[in-house]
Amino acid sequence: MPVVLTSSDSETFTVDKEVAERSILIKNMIEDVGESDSPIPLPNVSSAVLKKVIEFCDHHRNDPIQVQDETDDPRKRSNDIEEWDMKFMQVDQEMLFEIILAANYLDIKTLLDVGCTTVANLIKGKTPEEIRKLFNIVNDFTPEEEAQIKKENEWAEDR
Amino acid sequence: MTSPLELPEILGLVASYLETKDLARACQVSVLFHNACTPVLWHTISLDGNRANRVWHDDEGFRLGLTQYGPYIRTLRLRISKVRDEDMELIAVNCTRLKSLNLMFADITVETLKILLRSDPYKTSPGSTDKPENSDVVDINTRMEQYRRMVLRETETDQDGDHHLYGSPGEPASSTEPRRDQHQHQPTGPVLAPEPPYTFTRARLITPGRITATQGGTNRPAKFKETKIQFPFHLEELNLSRCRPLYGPELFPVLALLGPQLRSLTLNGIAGITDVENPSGLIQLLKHCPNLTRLGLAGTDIDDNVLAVLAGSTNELAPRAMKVLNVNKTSVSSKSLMPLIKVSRDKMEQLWCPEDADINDDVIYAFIEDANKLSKTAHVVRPFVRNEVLSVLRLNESFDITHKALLELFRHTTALTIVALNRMDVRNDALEALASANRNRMERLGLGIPEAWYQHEQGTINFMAKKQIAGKQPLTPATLTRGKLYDGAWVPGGLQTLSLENCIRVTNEGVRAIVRSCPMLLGLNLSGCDSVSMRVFRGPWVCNKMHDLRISGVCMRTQDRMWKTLHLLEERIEDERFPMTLLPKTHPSDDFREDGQYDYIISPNTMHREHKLFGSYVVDEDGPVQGDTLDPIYSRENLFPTKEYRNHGESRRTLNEFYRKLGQFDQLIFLDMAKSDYRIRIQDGLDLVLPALTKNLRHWNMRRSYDYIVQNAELEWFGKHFGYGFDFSRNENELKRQPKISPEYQGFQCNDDTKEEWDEFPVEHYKLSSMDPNRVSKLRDLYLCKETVEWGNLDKKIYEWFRESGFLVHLLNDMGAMSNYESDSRDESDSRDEWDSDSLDEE
Repeated sequence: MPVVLTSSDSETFTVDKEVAERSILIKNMIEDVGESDSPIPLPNVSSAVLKKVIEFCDHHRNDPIQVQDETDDPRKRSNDIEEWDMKFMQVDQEMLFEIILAANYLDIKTLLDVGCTTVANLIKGKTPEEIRKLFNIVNDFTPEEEAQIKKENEWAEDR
Repeated sequence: MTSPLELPEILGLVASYLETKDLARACQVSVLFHNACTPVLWHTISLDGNRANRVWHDDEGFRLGLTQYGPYIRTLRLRISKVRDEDMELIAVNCTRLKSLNLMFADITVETLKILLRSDPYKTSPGSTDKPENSDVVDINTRMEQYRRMVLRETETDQDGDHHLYGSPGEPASSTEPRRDQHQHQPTGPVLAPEPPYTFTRARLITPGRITATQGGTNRPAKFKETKIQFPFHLEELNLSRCRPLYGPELFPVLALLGPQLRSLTLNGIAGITDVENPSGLIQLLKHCPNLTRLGLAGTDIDDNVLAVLAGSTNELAPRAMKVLNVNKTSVSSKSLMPLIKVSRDKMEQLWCPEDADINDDVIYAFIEDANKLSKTAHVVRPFVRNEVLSVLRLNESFDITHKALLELFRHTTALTIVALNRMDVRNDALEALASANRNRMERLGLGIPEAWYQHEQGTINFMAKKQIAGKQPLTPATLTRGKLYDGAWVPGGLQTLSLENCIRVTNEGVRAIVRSCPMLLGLNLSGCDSVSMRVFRGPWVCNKMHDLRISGVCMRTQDRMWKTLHLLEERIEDERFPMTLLPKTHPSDDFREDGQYDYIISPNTMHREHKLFGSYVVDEDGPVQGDTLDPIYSRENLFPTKEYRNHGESRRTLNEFYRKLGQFDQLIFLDMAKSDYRIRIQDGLDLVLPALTKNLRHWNMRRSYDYIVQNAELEWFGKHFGYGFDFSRNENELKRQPKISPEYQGFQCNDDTKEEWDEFPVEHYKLSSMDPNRVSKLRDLYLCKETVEWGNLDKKIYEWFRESGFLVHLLNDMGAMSNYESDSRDESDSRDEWDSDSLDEE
């Protein structure tokens, strides 16, 4: 049973239910509404992004649903990305960010993880100034704060 | 467009993928970044190696951070040489939610420990008026929960005053949710700096007054408002291994104060665990801490009595199902271990048995035997049941355990991740069972089976079919039905490390089953496996995430005569599975060194020796082969040696495949390929390792006996690709361009104690040492043979330059490198002729 999705710019996409349900948001919607032919509107996702998201879900349609890690440690995550995912994420920054936002909105954990890992890999090895430049972030510390935070973190950089 | 980096929960997720160093930098980007990254950075603090003392005692920034972000710390691993009272106070005051504390190797007294643990909130400890009884356990646990909630509330109100910038570590969700809504409705456009929603509070500088004005903890949490020091209500794990001044009888009453909180206790190497005057100290502690189920007691004086008490055999305690038990280097035996494992069968995740002790098959069967179905006939047919919890099993040198027991164990366990079987009688069938369990697991998880394994099985079937045709039973080779193929996704769990040091019954066949079935294998130790040959590196491996590979003593030609026929069969099947690719024809000059000597892959000394051994007379085993015995090879200088001593195409191909394989292990940190019978030469494809090994490799052991020493060309190669990247051309200007290595990057030496603690795979250890950022690679420890320098025709200049490329060159005298010359060379040369299709023709 295919599912019809409508992007913010009113383009419609017909996808297999199995693929669409990689998104917990859509899965819950289908469960709530029941089976129906009417398209599901996704006002926060543009057609270009939705196309990418569907491509990702289609590739991962048979993956086992991720088991939540029980570990308490927030770090310990692996930085590995599958080759296909890495290629999939080779997009410009604007697209990358939109994919992440869409994954967050649509609640697709695997895509969100891959997106965040990609961002983390971009940050890796860069100085704070380089990170700001990369993501167009304004330094909103006062000079005193900046000096203090620099001092607080020097020990961790030295390794 | 809203940037997802303005959403704290997404930023937090990004932060979770960063390493310490990157986190520290990300904290300095902006207020939002700071708020998202700081809790992750401070969650786990691990101060190790040379920097531990410096950072902890002298780094003002770290101390500043500690006073501010202390409540975020859940795990503190502090490897400082001496823990003084003030250090403990610093921990007690700031790390209010500490869950795990590791002070391994520290010089710490019980008095200092009492600063952290001085009150008795649960009234379970010895001398307390309330008598601990088993019926009280439930009550104690509820009391523990009450205390924790109370403390959580208190520190939160405390934080509202001091830490509202950073949110509350306890409840990140509530602090981030509203922010998310705010941002989702932001208009599209250039990313604006978000209005700072928080005000930045001045960090409180740590002042001596604040620390010394402590009254210590009390029995009642209500009084904690008076002082910063409170009972560590969240502390569950304590590691005091090898803290020398600690002594069992003094220590146990203090530790007992933790009561039901304590879940994990590691006291490796602590003296007086079973003191003569107070033999029941540990048992008293166990009574007071009903939830203590993870015990590390390696290298202590415990004996069977303690385990018997845990198993409930003595009626002193109810039988306790242990989750983790480390009794390495103790004198416990099967007699007490077996009943305890039976009690813990459904819970025990990790077991570390003593080496070379009285441990027999009973211990193994206790893990997988179905206690309900045990009958009188159990000694004939044992009723087995699946074990789904056992994950770490170290059985090194348990000589009484048979290969049959191991086979049954691997057939019936599904969750093994770390297995150490050094020097034991493990055979191919057991390894195949282990590999099969791993494949079944991946299939159950819906991840599929590695393609390499299908090819492996298909090849075997094809080979057998051909055999049957020869035996007048025409059969078309069956084709395997293929399920889902594994696509390289992350596998949670699965076999991670396998140590088979000196398991002489293991052959290529068993190793191939493992490396083609276990994609998550990070460590593999095949050192001293005489029956494994370098040909094991042919064909695909699926474990390309390897961190640690040890193949010391694995040679081109297997050393074991007993299994020769099986080897030959397996290698023929392997040729069927994965036919060897042809190498480009080598130029004869490739096999001559600069000095005109023939450049052997396998030294004629070894070969010659074997010939003599199985020919007319046996050569002297001890002394090097000298004089006339070598004449037939060396007399014809600058000419090819006779065919039998020449480098064979088979050797070239095997090495080429080996280097190609190393070139896939881009996460390899530790590589030990010492004591082998082939020389490391550039012309055999050493360049193939470069894309991977320049990334993470730290430690490379290539010790050889003096026939195989590293020459100038290889030294240059190592210096260029693993040093500072300079191509040494004996040019003075080039030499001057090299930066001098700063002394701080020299000399990270781990002492023996440390090594012991990291056991088989000291990978973590190597991650911790710092590295000169100018280096091309991370390789720093290189083990060469002493004769390389003393006897080799090394250019002194090249050697000096190489040394200055920032390697710690360990020169080891390794005369005994080739310990086993007993390989049957006649069989070997027969088989080689078959494999050796493109060996060099006589000129």
